[in-house]
Amino acid sequence: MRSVFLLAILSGIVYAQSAGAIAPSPGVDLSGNWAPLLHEDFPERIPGPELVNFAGLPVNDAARAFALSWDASRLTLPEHQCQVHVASYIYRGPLQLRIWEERDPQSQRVIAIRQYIQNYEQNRTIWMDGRPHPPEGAVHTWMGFSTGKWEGNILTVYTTHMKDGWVRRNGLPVSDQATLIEHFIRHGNIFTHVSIVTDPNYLTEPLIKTQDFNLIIPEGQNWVYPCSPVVEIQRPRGAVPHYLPGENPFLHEFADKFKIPLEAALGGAETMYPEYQTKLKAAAAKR
Amino acid sequence: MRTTGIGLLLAAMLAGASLRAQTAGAFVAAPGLDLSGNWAPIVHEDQPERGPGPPLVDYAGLPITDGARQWALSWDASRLTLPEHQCQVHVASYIYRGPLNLRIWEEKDPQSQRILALRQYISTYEQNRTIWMDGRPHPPEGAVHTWMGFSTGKWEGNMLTVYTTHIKQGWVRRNGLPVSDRATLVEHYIRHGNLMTHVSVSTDPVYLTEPLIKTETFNRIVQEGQNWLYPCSYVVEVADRPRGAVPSYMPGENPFVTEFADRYNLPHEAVLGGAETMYPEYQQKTANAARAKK
Repeated sequence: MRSVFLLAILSGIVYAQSAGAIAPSPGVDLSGNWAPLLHEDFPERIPGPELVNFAGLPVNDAARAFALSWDASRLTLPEHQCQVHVASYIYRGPLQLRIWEERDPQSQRVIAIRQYIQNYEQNRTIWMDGRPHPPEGAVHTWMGFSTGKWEGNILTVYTTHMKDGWVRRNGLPVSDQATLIEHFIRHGNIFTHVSIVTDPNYLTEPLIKTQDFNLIIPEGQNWVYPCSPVVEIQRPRGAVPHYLPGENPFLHEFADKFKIPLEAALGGAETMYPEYQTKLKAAAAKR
Repeated sequence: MRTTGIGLLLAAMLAGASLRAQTAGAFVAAPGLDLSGNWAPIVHEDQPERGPGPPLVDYAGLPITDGARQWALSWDASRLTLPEHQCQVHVASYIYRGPLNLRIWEEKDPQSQRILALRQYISTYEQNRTIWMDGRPHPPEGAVHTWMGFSTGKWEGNMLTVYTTHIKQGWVRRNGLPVSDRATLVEHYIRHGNLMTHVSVSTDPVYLTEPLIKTETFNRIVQEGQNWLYPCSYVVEVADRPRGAVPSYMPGENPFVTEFADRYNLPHEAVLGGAETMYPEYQQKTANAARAKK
C-alpha cells in the first residue's frame, strides 16, 4: 500500500495519471457478515426474560404499569405475531447481521452504511452524508431514521423516528418518542455494539447495553425470517389478552423463585447500580 | 460460532415452526460463499511485469498470433503520452494484474436475500464492475463494449466462475501486445480464508492462438481511514508534437527489437513469443539450439 502511495507522489508531477491514490477518509471498514456472541445476558436473549422481571432497567411507573397489564398471550394475536423488534432492541436477538457500504462511485466517499438484520428481515440505512433527520411528524418505522459519524474509528449513530417497541420482551415498553445512540467499535474480527436508549415516556435514565459480534464467512446459505400471521387461538373478535391493574397473577413469581424483594424485581433506575445490592443486603439483614 | 448459531437457530425453528407464525430465523440453502470485503493484491507472482512493467519487445510466454506480434512491434511506448491514451483503462482481462485495491460486495434481493449481482470497485482507473448472478443472458453481439465488459457468474461449489464478453480492445501485456474486442474471459474466484486466488482465462480469436491462463492472489484487508482513488486528467506531456501524430514504428524499424533478448542472452525468436514459448518444453528446445550453435 505504501509503495502505491509513493508511486502516486513520484508520478503525479509529470504524468496525467498516478498508480493510484489513497484519499484520507474517516473510520474503519465494518462491512462483512457478523454473528452475535451471546455470552452477555444469555438467559434474557435466548430463553427470554421471566415474567415481571423488570430489574436493572430504569423504567418509570408508567412503563411498569404498562408491563404489568401485559399478558404474554398477546404474542399469539395475528397482529403481534410478526411484530418487529425496534432498532433499540433488535441487536439482542439471535440475529445475523450483514453490513455493507454504499459509496459514491466517483469520490468513493461513504454515502450510507447499510445493514441487513436477519431477525424479521430488516433492512436498515445509516446515512453518512450529513443529511438532517426528518421533521418530528414524519413516519416512524421499526428501524427508525439513522445518521452516523466517525469518532476516530468508532461509528456513532443517532436514530429517531422509531415505532413503539420494548426494552425487555416481557412487556416493558419503549415509546415512539425514544431516541437511540449507538457506537460500533471494531476490534479485528470482533465488534462491540453499544446502544444508549433515551425515552422521555418510559425511562427515567438512559439505558446502556452492549453486544459483541464475530465476523464470519457465510457459505451455502441465505438468512431469512419467514413469518406469516396465523390464527393460533380461536378468540372472540377484538379480544386482547391483558391484566387489569392489580390482577397480574405472575407479579411475585420471579421474585419468589429467586428470593429477591418484589420492589427489586419491579425495576427502576436504582436497581441498575451496584449499590442497590448493598441496599438489599442491608434490608435483608435488618429483617 | 457458526455451529453454535446454527444449532440454536435450528432448535428454535424446530420448536416453534409447527405452532407459531414465526421462527427464530432460517438458513436457506444458497450456493457459494461470501467474497465480499476489501482485497489487496499480493504481487509476488510476476512481480517484475506487474510492478516496474515488462521490457520492450518481451513477448515470451504468451500465445500470440503473428498479427498481435506485428501490432506490438509497431507500438511505441510514447503512445502513452498522447492525451487520448493517458487515462486508458486496463480491460477486465488485464486489470487484476495491477497494483489495484479491490472491493467486492453483494447486491441481494431485499426479500429473498438471493444474490442478484456481485459488485466490484477496482481502484485502478476507478472501475466499477458488475457480475450478474441472476441468470440473465449476455447482450447481443452488437451491444456496446466497455472496459469491464458484460459479466455473468455462477457458483461451481465454492468457486465463483465468471464469463465476460463485450470487452473493449486492450492488451495482454502492457508493452503493446493487444487483445481484441472479440476476446472473452472466464474467471475463477477461489477463497481460502483471508486469501483469494483469481484465475483468468482469456480467449481471443484475433490475437491469441490458445487461451491465456493467469493467476493472481489477493489478501483480505480491513480498510481504515482511506478511500482508494485514481485521479487521471489529460495533460499535454509532449509539447512539440504535430497535431494528429501518433508515435509508432514502421515494419522492421522498431529499434528495441533485440534489446530484451540481447540483455538476457535469449534467442530472438523466444522473446517474440507464441504459444510454444508458454510451455516448459520450450526451455529444452532453446537449450538444445544453444548447444547446437556451439
